[in-house]
Amino acid sequence: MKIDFSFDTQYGKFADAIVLPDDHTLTDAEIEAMKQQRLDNWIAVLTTPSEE
Amino acid sequence: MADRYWRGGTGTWSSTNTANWSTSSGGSGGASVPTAADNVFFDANSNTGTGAFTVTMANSPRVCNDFTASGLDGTMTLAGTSIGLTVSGSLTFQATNFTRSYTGTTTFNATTTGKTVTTNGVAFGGSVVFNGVGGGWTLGSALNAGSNSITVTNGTFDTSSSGNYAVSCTNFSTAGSGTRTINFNASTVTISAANTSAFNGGTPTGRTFNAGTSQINLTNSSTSGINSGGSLTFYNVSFTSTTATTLSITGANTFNNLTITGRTSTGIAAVTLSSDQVINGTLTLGAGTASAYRTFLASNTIGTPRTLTVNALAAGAADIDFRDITVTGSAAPLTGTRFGDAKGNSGITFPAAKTVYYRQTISTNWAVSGSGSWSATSGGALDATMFPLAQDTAVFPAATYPASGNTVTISANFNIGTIDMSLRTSNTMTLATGSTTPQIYGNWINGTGITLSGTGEITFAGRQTQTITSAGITFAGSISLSNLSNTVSIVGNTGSVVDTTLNGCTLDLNGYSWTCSSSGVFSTSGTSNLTFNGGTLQFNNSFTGNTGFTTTQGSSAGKIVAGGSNSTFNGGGLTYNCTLEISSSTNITIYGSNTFTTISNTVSPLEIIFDDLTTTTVTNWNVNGTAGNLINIHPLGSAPFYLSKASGVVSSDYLQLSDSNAAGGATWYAGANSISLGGNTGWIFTAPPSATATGNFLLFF
Repeated sequence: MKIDFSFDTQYGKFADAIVLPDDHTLTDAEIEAMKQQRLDNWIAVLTTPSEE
Repeated sequence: MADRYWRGGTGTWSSTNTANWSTSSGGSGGASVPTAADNVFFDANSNTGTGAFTVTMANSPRVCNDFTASGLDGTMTLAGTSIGLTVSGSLTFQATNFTRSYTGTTTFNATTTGKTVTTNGVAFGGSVVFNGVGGGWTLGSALNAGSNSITVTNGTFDTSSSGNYAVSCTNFSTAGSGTRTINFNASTVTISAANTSAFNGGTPTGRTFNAGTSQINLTNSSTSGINSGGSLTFYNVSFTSTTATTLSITGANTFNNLTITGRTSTGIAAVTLSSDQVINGTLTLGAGTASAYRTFLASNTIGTPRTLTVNALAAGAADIDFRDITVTGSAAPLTGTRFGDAKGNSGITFPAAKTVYYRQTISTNWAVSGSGSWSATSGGALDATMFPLAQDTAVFPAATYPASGNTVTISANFNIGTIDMSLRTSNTMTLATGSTTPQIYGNWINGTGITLSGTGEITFAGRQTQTITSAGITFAGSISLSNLSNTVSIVGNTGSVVDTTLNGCTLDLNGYSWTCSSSGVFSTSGTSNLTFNGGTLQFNNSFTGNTGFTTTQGSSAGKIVAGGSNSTFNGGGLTYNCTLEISSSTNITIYGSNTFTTISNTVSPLEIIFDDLTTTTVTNWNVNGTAGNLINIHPLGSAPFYLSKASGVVSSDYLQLSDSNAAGGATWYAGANSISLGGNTGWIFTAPPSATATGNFLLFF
C-alpha cells in the first residue's frame, strides 16, 4: 500500500509517499511520525545545504 | 531472468559469494550471484529471526534488475564503501527496517519504460545516475540524493504526475546529448550545490525539459545558479539563501515566478545574468534587513545589458543594485526602495543621488547591522537607511567620524558612488578593503591623511568621466579601469598601485604620474587608450598592450617608464606616442614590433633585450651608456632584431651590440666607445662626425 502525503512549508510543497506491505502493523501514530520525520529530513537538507 | 533471494543474514554481496543467495525466499544458499537480468529480494527470510544484518556490497558495482527490499522483519543495512549499485529495473527500499550506508553511485540503466524508484525516505550516499537509452523511471516516493548529485544522461526521469514527489540533491544535471527527458510535474526540487551550475541543463541536443508547475529551490548559502545550457522554460525558481554572495542565471530562460531572497546579514549578493530572461508571473526581489543588506542584479558582462521581461514585481522590493539591466513588460518601470543605480539600466526607477556622511567614531565596517555606519548629515544621527548607494556620494568628515587613526573596512563587494575623503588630512584614517572587490561608479578622492589597505581589486565602472584624486597615496591593491569608452582621469601623482588593468576605456594621466608597484602589471584589453597630457606611466614589473590599445600624447609629451629590476614590455606591435624611458636597474625585455616616439635610458649599465626578428621603430634613439657601464643590447634568442628610424643621425655611445640590424634611413652611430659582439648591420662604430667636419663649418668657409 502507498500512503501519499504532503506538507506545505515556507520552502514549498514537500510531497512524499510511504510504501508499506499491505499487512503492515504500524499504528497511525507511527505513520504520522514517519511523515514528520521525512519532512524534518527534507527541511534539514534545505536549511543546512552541503558543500560539494 | 531469475529471482535471487538473500538469505543467512550478514554477508557479502560480491562477485563470487553464492552462500547468501537462494532461488526462493528462505531457501538454501548456493544460487548464482545475481546478474543484471536478475531480480534481487531482501525480505523476512533474509535474516535469522528478526536480527539485524548487513549486506556489504563488494568488488565492482553490484548489479541487478529489480531491487526489492520489502517485508524485512529485522533491520537490514546495505553497505559498501565506494561500491555502487546498478539497477536495470525498479528499486524499492523498505520504509522501515532498512538502512543504506553504501557510498557508491547508484545507476539506473533500464532500457525500457515503466520502472519505479521508491526510496521510502532513504537517502542515497552517492551520486544517482539515470542512464539507459529508452529507459523511463517514475518516482514512487521522494528522492533524496543527500550530499550528492543527480544526473540524467539517457531516458526519462519523472517525479510522478500523481505524487509530485520532492527531489533533493546537490547538483541536478543532464549530461551528454542522448535522448533524455525530465518531467518535474508539480514537484519541489531542492538543489544545494555550491556552484553556479547547480542546475545544469547540459546541451539542448536530445533534451526535453518539462518544468510542469514545479518549484526549484537553489539553497546554497554562498554560491548557486542555473545554467540551462541554452534556454529552458522553468516554472517557479527561487534562490532561497539569505547569505549567498554569488548567484547566477545562465541561458535565455523563461520563468513563471523568479524569487531572489533578500539578505539577513550585511553584504551583497551578486546575481549575474548571462542572457535575457522572461518572468511571466512574479519577480520577487526580496528586501534585505536594511540598506546595507543588498542584492546586485547585473549582466555578467559589464556594458552588455540583459533584458528582464517582467509581468509583475512583488511588493516590498528593496535594497537592490542594478547594472546593465533593462526591464520591460507590465512591471516596467520597476519601483522599489533604495534601488542602487550601478549604471547601464533602463526601465527601473532609482532614487535621486544623495550625499551621506560616515558617522561611526571607531574602527568598524562600511556596512554594519543595526543603525548602520552612515548619517544623512555630517555628525548627525546614525540612520540605517543611509547606506551609500551606487549613485550617492559618501563623505568622511574632517574629524571624529571616524576618530583619527581608525580604520573603516569595506567588507563586501559593494557598489559605491563617490568616496570623498578629501577632508581627512591631519586626522588620519585607513580605508581597508581586505580581499573584497568594490565597484566605484563616481570619483575617488583621497585626503593626505588617508592610508589604503587591502589586496582586492578596485574597479572603476562608471559610465562617465571618473576622477581619482590620489594625493600621493599608495593603493595597496590593484585597480581595474572599466568605465566603458569613457575616461578615468587622475588628479595628483599616485603613490603606487599593484596591477592596473585598462578595460575598454581611457586613462588620462592629466600631467601626473601613475605608478604600478614592483610586483604590479599594467595591462589592457579591448579598445583602451592612455592619454598622457604630459603625464607618466611607470611600470616596475611588466607592461602589456593588447590589440585595441592606443596612446595619445595630448597637450604635451608623456612617457612610459620601465622601472624595477627586470621589466618586460609586451608592446603588442602597437604605436606608442611617447617616450619609453628605461630605468630598470638590470634589464628590460621588449616584445613586439612596436613604434615609439623615443627610446631612452636613465641608468647604466643595463641590458636591453629585443625579441627575435622584431622591428622597433623610433623617431628618436637616445640610448647611451657610460665608461665602464655599457648598455648591452641583444636579441632574446639567436635570431637578430631590427631597429628602424626613418631619417637623421643616431648618436649613441657605450653600447655593446649583437645581432642588431639598424636601418630605416637614418645613420646609426654606435659611438667610438661601443663594442660589436658580431651579427650587427647598419651600425657605425664611431662617433658621428662633428659639426665642424660635416658641412656647416666647411660651407661657412
